[in-house]
Amino acid sequence: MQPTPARPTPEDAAAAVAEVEAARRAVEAADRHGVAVMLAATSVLTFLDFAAKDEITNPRRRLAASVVIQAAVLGISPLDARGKPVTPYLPGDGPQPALAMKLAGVTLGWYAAERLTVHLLRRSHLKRPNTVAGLVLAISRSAGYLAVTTVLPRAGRSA
Amino acid sequence: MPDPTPDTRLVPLLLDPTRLRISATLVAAGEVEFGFVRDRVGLSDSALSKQLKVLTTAGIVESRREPTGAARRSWVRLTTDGRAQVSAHILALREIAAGGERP
Repeated sequence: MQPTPARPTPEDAAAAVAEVEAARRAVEAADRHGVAVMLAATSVLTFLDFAAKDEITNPRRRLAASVVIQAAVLGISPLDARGKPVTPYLPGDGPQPALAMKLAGVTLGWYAAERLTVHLLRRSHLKRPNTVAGLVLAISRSAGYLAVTTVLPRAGRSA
Repeated sequence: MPDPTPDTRLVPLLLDPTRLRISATLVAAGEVEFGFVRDRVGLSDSALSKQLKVLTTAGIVESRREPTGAARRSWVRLTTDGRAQVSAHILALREIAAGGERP
């Protein structure tokens, strides 16, 4: 058992607290690094994916463009995670089925809302419904990402 | 001159400035890459490994290495008990710095 330590002086404690705050800022900066670029790239690719459906008339070329763009979108997230030296969220102490169900529900709800929006826009009398859908999704996906990452509980908030 | 009155929330190991810097970095995140901690604390790989070994032996820190990939990275994090200890230590430091009394 370790001996109980003597209390540091208020000056030493203040210096230690300043170090704790500096570490928190460094971790938060590392977590934010590249987020703007990642969101901008996702938004642009999402917009292009939908806009191409209005602009490219050849079905095979339209499909090819969509495959390339969606592959790029899918590749962004792993690249972003790979480049980050910190994971801001607390690791769970084991399986958390309730939380997993909640996340799955939110994901499915989000997907359903997106598909409904696209469906309604395509049935509308807009001249370029897919372009409008791309614009809506380009904004809503980035906004949704920011909202979710803001709401999720992060490590160190109470320390 | 340090106050000789003991505070049970303070963790003796964390009164060392280097180990406090390591712990402060880890408590701000769920998991941190070894290289980030090394650069932030300003230690060599071997010096950080030694400090982490001390903290691991005390049950405060745990680490893992990515199982696959060309450049497998090592990750470090606080254990559940370690996070509680570091949080209590920081809370005690805040109170001392603010000149507050312990409960």
